[in-house]
Parts: sequence; C-alpha cells; structure tokens
Amino acid sequence: MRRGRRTGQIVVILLVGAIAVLYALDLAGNRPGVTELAPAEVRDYQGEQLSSIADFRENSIRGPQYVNASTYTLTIDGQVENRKEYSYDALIERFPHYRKVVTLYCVEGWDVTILWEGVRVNDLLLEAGVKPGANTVIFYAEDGYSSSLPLTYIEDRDILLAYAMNDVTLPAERGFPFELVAEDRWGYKWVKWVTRIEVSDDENYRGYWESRGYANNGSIDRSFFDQG
Amino acid sequence: MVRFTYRKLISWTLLAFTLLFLINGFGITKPWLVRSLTFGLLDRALSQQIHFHLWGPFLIVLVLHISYSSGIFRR
Repeated sequence: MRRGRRTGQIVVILLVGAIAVLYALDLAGNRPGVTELAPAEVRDYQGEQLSSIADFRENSIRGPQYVNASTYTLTIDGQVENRKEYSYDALIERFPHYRKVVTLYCVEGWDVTILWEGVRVNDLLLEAGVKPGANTVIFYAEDGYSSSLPLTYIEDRDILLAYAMNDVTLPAERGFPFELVAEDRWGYKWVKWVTRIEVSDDENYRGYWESRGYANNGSIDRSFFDQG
Repeated sequence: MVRFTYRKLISWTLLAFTLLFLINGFGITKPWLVRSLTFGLLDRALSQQIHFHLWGPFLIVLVLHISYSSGIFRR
C-alpha cells in the first residue's frame, strides 16, 4: 500500500515536470526540430520606418485561414456588366502592381505601418464594368467575414488588394492570398482572405462587425461607434 | 480559524484558473460581453494571450488537485 503510494507520488512529480518543460518550450516558442527563420522583410522604405509583419495581433473571427493558391478564385459580381473570376496567378499577372506605405489602426488601440503591394481594386471594377446605380462595394472573406466600403471611396483612392507586405508574400495569418488595404479606415474594414467582391446598390449593407455595432463608415478620424 | 492546507490552496487555485479560462474563452468568442463586464479591462487580444498561456499552470494545478484528492500525498 505504502509502496503503491510512493509510485503514485513519483508518477505525479514526473507528470508535473513534463508539463512544466513543455510549457517552458511553448513560451520560448521552440518546437523540436524546427528552427525559426526571420522573414526577409524590409523594415524601412524611402526613409520611413516600417512595422514588422510580426507586430500584428491575430484578432480574426475564426482564426487564420489557410487558402490554397492553386484552387483559389476571386469572384467579382453583383452590379457589374461582366461577372469575373480570377485565379491567384491570373489576378497578379493581369493587373498592374502598386505599392505604398499605409498604416493600419486597430480599434484595439495598436497600429502598424507597412509597405503594401497589390493590385488596385478600381482596376478590377473597371474590367468588370460597374452598372449605374451601384454605390457600395462589399468584400467577403474565406472565413465568412465581410465588410463594405462606398464605391466612391474605391474609385477616388488608390485602394489596394494586397498580396505582399514589406516585400514578403502575405502569410496566412495576414490574409493570404489577398488583404484589402482600406487606408484611413479602422482595421475591421481591412478584410483578409478576400474571396469575393460584390458591387451593390445597398449602401446600408452592414458587414460582420458593422452589424454588431461598429460604424459603417469606419473612418479613422471618427469613433468606430459613430453611426452618423 | 480556517486551517491552511496545500489541498485547499490547490483547490481554490484550480477554481480560479478554471474561471479565468472560461472568462478568457468568452473574451475571444464574445469580446463585447466580456469587455463590458470587465469595464474594458479584458479586451479580445488580452483574453487570447492569457488563454494561450494558461494551459501549463492549469494542467499542473489540475494534476496536483487530482493527486491530493486521491490521497497519494496523504501521510
């Protein structure tokens, strides 16, 4: 009886030790057999200091989505003359590439300044042909997330659908294959893992967070609760 | 006077960790609710960080709790 208890105590101590070691490894970010390499990202651009890809906080609604580039399709539909579908390669090869430094401001209080590279959303809309009367562009993501922006905002600004950040292809955590660079709008407008762009005449459309109380406008010079 | 025992300490710690785990879980899936309940103290990012880092201490206290309750450490 006494011997059995002694064995039990040893097992418990070993178990606690094993958990402590695994926990310490997890905290240190070490996994056996895996060596972390720093991504070859640029950290300054034309004299401007950039944030790192690692500076983002993961706050998506269902965690990172792992989209397969070889089966990926971006659909552009709704109030357009020609419904369009592009594969990942077709989209990148067909349209001109642009890059610019834009800061993302999250409603959680943090911000990141990144060199974004992508195609202009307006170029995609021009090819699809926007029908008269359309006033809203809705972006849908792989995980079911959505958000909308006024058509005039897309037309008047060089809004990018980014495939790279700091000269590195978007990692899955950041929205591979495409993240919307909604400059001057709060982070919840920056849709990641974009799979569909719908041109709409419903200017009252409310996306995932907008239907839960966030402002539909989403402008960073106004509160994200400001419904005006 | 309440007699201090390791068993009680571990039980209460486990209860605290369990509640913390639950609150942080809801802080991730229902950030609005938890943020308002904690007066803005616990936002989604903080909930996620705590939730991801709590598993080690939680498991250790759980193992100790089961061990003490099963009488392995009884004199």
